[in-house]
Amino acid sequence: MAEAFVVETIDLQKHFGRKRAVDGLSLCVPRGSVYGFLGRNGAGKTTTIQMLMGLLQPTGGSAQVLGLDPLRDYVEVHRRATYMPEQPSLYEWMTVEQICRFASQLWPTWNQKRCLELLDRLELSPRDRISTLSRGMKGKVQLVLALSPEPELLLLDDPTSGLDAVVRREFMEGIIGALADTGATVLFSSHIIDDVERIADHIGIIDGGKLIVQSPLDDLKEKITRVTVSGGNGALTADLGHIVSQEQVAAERVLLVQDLVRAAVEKLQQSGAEVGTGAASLEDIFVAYVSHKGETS
Amino acid sequence: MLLDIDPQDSVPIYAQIIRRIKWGIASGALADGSQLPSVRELATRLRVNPNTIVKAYRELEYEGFVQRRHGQGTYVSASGEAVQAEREEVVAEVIDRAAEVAVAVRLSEEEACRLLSQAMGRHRDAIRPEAGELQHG
Repeated sequence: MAEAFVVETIDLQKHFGRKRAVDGLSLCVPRGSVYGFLGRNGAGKTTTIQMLMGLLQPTGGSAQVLGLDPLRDYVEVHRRATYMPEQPSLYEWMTVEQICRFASQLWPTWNQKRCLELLDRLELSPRDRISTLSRGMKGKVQLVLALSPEPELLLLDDPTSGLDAVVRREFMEGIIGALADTGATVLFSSHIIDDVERIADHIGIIDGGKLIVQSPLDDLKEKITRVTVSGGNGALTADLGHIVSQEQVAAERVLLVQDLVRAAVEKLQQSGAEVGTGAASLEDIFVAYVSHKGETS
Repeated sequence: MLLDIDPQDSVPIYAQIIRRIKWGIASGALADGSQLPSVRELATRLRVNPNTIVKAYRELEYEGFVQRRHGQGTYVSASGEAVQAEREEVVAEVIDRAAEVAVAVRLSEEEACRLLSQAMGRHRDAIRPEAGELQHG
């Protein structure tokens, strides 16, 4: 119960033939956190989550979930952690009510009151047959099944992809309500930055199967500054700090700088440059890390 | 309530919430003794992590703006001086930027003060249309 990290992987690897889908991933998800796992399509998010749930066998490295081995302790992991796959996988021939009853028998911790509340809040009719539901409604059913057992850990694989704005909102509200009541740890992968920026307190960015950033969100925002420079001695920008990315937009150079050196800004201004500094959004940061590999100096 | 947040702002979300609540207290919209929304309610409404709300409320309590009563909720509890100090602080923050510009363009203090009082007059009329109407009528 007392592990500081609910999910901990060390040098986790998964190769499919010659492709390294996950390539030396060391992930630490603190207990009670909401961990936003960001990456482009094909970055390795789904493969990682499937290994955490024991659905795939790692090629190398190790993974611990709730202090357990997802393969050896498969049943125990699935009892205490729930998982929402990217594509809803439900028995199409069941009604909403039937599938809830079926699932309730699999989890000793199932909370029927929460289940009914969620069905009501998400506007799901118990009598509807799964096969007749839209993609968004099926996603909602899957969410009810993931939240009703009141898991210690909730793994959501891009839960809001393909949902319209209204459903996405209901979805996030459902997750937040459950979080407030149970204090579960959540790891969710997403490419919808706004959702992540609102509810995540920890961020991991994965690219090419490797974790390139892992940090509390507030620290990340504090560390990274967006700097615009025009004119002056351009060579001096190299001293601004660790440059995560830079691009030229007309006469202006836009840089994302980690641990900005204030003195270097002044020096640059003294050389006649016009320098602006401001906040970087998570989107800026995400794009900077995954599309450029930093300065090659 | 006047609460909304911008997740893309560089100001962390908990700090944005603190700022909004202090504004509410300074403006009188949140009267002394009034109850703030529960953590669950506010987290759901703003679609943010409940821990973020807890952090904001804890900080507000530490600074003496609210009181958390165990099992009952969080209540505004700010002394007259604290409220006055906060009113001055929120205004001082924006005036600082105006002052910087005023100095840069070499405006005299009298001219800057005149602009400030004109602007305040306009906003007073905008907030209380009935008072404005009376003056015009």
